[in-house]
Amino acid sequence: MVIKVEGLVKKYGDLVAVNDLNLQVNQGEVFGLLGPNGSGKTTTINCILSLLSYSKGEIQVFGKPMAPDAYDIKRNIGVIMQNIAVFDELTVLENIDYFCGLYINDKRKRRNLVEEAIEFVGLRDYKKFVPKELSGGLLRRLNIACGIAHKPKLIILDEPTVAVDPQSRNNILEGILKLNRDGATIIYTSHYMEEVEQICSRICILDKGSIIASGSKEELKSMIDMGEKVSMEVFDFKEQLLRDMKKIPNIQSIDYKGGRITVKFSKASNNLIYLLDYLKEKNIKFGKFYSELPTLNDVFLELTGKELRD
Amino acid sequence: MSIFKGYFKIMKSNLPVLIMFMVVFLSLSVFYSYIGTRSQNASFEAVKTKLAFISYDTEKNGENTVLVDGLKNYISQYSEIIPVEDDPEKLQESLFFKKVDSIIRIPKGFTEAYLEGENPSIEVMSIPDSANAQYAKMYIDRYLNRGRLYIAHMEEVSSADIVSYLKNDLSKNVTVEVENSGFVFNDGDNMASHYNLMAFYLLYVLMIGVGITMLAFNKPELVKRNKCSPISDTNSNLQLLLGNLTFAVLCWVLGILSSFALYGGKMATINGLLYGINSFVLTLTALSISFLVASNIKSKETFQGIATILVILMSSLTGVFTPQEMLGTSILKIARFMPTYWFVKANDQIQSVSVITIDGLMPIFQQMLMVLSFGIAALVVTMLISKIKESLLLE
Repeated sequence: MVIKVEGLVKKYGDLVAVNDLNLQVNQGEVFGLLGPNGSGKTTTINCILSLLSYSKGEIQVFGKPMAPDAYDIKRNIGVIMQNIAVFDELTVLENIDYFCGLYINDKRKRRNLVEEAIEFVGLRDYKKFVPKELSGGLLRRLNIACGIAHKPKLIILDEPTVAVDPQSRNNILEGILKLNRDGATIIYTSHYMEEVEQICSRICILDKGSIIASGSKEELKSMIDMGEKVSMEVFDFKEQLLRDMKKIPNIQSIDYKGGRITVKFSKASNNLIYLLDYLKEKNIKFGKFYSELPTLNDVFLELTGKELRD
Repeated sequence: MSIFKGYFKIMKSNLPVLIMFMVVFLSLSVFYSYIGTRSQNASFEAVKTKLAFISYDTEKNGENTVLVDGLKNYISQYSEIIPVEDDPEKLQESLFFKKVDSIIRIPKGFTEAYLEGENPSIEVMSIPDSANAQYAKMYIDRYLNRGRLYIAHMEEVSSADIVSYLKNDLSKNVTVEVENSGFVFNDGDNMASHYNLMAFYLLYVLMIGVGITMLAFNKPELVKRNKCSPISDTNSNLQLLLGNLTFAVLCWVLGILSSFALYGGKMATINGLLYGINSFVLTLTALSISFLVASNIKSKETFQGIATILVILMSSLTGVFTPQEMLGTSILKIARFMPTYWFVKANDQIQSVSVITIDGLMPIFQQMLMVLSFGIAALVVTMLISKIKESLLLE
């Protein structure tokens, strides 16, 4: 086990930021901490890294108690903060070399690691650029390179894709998976459920400082009643029909907005057949038709009654 | 030593500003050296006073007596004798319009009374509070008092003899050689100005260099990021301290080298040594102040603004640019609360050191101690604030 957190409580005055949190991260997994802004993800990470003191609980990393002076543990951790932590005055190469130098003293070894990190994040052509000359996406990549250059066993990424364009985001996510394939254990925090769903093998959903669910994405989705979500484009639809449509078997909820109907079904067979039969029977004309399995947002919505992005 | 190396890599980005400032400092220093404005470099030159000399003590042929003539000749060596009509109104006018500084009137029978050992008075009218008039009185007293010595100690001495003796006595000059272990400052060779200006240079270069570099390290994200590394806070702070000290000493050495370039071997005197020590003490204090300011300001622009204001205030109010004697007393009262005031004061005292004595050096070391105490105070405040911030960060 790489990380073990037991009964973690962190209070800011009367505000409980993390409430009796328990979690375990196993070696080799990509562990996702998912939750809306203010749910306690970053506070939890800061407590794990001993950047914050906490009111109660125990934290172990690599089987040893974590503390501000646990330098042997810190040597094996790579941290990529939510806010970009690089020196504006140093070039890409100098920044990566600086952060790698905090962990690796051997000059030759460090030079190789820095080169590898530059290659890994695709900043070869930007080595001599200073941060202000980089785009948002490239800056995020530099931030990642600074955190992983020393090849840590545990990498903690706190919202590393905030304000990043889709192309750079994919690049970053692919990179994280590659790091994991190379043997690193990853903790990934985000409020973007698609990212967490895409890369994490195990996910912990946080809300108001507490874990509301955890498991693999399949396990999480199985926790809710919703089986599938159907949305379709309808023409000449009369809203009065909505009440009648609720009679269709297994319907959980139905919503009509902007010429589009969204129907949520509970887990059962033949849901689509029932819906199509109804549309045919009532002669409702429809256009584009989509059927989706539940997402983590649906899980969050069902568990908390609010959207993940609220 | 990653942090130490990083410190100098960041410092490198400020290098153009620092070089530019070094050039400005040297140019200013050369300029000040050659105009030589320091108040303590005074030289003196005798001034001729303007006198009206009226004598009623004449021989039968109407000419001045020998004694009066001797006195007139002696005075004329140091004064310009202006002929003025002996009319009360004309005499008053001459004084009022400063045509003459003094009017000397020798009464009738003066020589006779003088030779008999009496103390006859000479009427002297002068411009009130005129220094030149005092000189004239001084010359008359010198002449007559010395003449009295001959009258008192020689029998049957004539006025011609007295005039002859006095001519001989008063024309003698003695050459006095003043031994000076150092060199003598003069208008074109003003090391004190150079060192006073060094306060401006050291304060600005250290403020900008240390300040901007420390601002980079004090960015909250980077503080947090560094705390995640296996480098302890103590180690990290020591590396930064070493970086700061190295930079400060480098700046000081550059300043000292500039003194050698401008003043050459004169730096190898006791004065040069004292200037060096005094500037080193200021270097440490400037470093400490820079550290304090940089620890408490987050934006680079705000820091640059505050640093510039502080340096200009500390320089212009304390006598770095102009002699302290030329500053008003109220300004000097405020200036006492700035280290540069004591630094300049020490420089001014070092300037006049010619012989090494405890009494002579003690005030200089006291001024240095004052400068250092500002540095220690700034360091203590910085450490206190940093301790408070540290505990707040963990909360």
